[in-house]
Amino acid sequence: MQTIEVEGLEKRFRVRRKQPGLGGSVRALFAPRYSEVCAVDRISFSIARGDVVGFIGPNGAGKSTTLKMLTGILHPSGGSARVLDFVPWRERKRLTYRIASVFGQRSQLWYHLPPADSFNLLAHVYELEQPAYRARLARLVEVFAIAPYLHVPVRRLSLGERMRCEIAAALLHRPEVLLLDEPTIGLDVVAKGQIRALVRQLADDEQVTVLLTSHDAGDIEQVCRRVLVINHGALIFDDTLERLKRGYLRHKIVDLKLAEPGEAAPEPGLRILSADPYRLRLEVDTDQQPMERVISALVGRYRIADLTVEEPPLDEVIAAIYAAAPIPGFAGETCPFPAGEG
Amino acid sequence: MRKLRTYTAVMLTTAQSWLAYPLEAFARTSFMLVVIFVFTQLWSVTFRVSGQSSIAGYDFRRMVWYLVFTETISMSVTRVFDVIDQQVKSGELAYTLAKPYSYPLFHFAQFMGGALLALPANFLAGAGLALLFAGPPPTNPAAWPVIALAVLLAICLHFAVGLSIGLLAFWFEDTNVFYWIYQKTTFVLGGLSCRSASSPPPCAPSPSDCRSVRSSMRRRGSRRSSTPVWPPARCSPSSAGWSRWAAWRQWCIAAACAA
Repeated sequence: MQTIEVEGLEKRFRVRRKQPGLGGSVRALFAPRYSEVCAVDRISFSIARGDVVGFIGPNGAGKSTTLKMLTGILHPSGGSARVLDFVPWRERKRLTYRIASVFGQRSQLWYHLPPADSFNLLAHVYELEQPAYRARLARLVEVFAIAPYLHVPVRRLSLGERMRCEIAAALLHRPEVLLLDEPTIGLDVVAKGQIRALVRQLADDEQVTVLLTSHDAGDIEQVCRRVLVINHGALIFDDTLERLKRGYLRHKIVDLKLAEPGEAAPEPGLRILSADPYRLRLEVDTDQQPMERVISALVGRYRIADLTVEEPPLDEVIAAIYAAAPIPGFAGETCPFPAGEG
Repeated sequence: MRKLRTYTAVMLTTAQSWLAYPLEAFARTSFMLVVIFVFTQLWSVTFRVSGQSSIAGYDFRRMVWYLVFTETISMSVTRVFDVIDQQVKSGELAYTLAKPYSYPLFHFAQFMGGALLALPANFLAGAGLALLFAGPPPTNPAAWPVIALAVLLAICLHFAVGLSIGLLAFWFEDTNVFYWIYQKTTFVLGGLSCRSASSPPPCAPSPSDCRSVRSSMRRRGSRRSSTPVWPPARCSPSSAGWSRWAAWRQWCIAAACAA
């Protein structure tokens, strides 16, 4: 059984348009003009239990709108969706007992109180039995290493500490689906790493289905097994991370450390990124030059001290996807209107 | 029963949050002292100048205690419409709506939690000052439960209106204008609305009015002098008109100060 099933989901907003200037404002009073904005355009996908799926797209692509429809906060303009067999916008309250969401730029912790007070309140909100709640809290405090902050007012916590508490708060009632909306935004490298590791561990240990939106390629690369890419409201890619990289960027970076000085020689399919006597950095177009041939040619030409082959950074892949037309084979119909919100 | 526990927990958590900044809580309560002190002084002047022992059925003591109760209510409640308005604008609604409770009842619990500590704190501060300046409350002890019920109902009514205004944030960009209308309506219905403060008092007094003014002045040991004083001799106001005008003027000044 699929945990999340979305079929032809669509959300359109009517937006008032106004000409610039005072004249435009006065005209808009008497003859308002509206245009339709298509935030989510007939997207379809399904997610199985325990899957960790990245949901990426540029600003205004329709990610947050989709998440809001999946939590039941927004009613769609068309299509259908089922989360844990509930229709979210019709059975929102029943669904909320079994899902959780974390928004990186919002907080559900009470700002002036310590996280422990917010946890206690959430235990009442989700009607948890006290022994079960205490055991669950003890486990989360241990996993998220938040014992030192439990009794410190939230306003005094760093962003990274707060975010760990936010995710712990979202997991108190053992949700089966976790929706994470940019959970690492604004965090430093160490805090990002901690959050990613925790989400991964959680998904593995408790078989929680995770749908993660982020603008940070590292989040997607280190946490997700599968990626959904949305742009202008339309789903343009739905497959594994590896396939995303392989299918979209057809080059690799070869970094050579030389034992003896050598000179770089231009060849078809090879681009020299940097060159000095003991180090070469080359970009290989794998469509023109298979990697085996490139490696054997390099080994024959130079005395190599060290050689590394790098995958293209996911950032580049994502930037290329956003900039380009839909990926052949994955293309959905593009939305005729610019999307209104993220 | 479980749901009742949920809303009780929301209420108590809000009360805890209210106490998170003790100094701020103390400052809020201190303002009650300022308001009651200003109004007490204004009303004492009003009663003294008018020479009347009661205005519209209220003597000084009743007036001060009326103020203590009404100010306690108005200063102890949160602006629920503003909370909802901000949640809609900031997107925090995504959290509050995605929880297994009733959205209006959640706000009601928060609202009552805010009033839970503020109400007794403000009342004690105001009542202390009223005792000092006006004496004990002019009520039968048996009336106190009814007063408590009236206060509770007033709070609930204020919440219901605030919630209705707040929910307009789902359709309108800004709900402040609706609150403004509500606020002015409560001024009108609550008696604070008045003729302009600069309106002259009613003229052409009846002989009985003049006798009343003279007798009240005599009671206070005043003597008529030839120096023109307000009210001008050519247009002596009726005593009732003068006292109403003076009362409104003081009210308006006090309202401006309080605002």
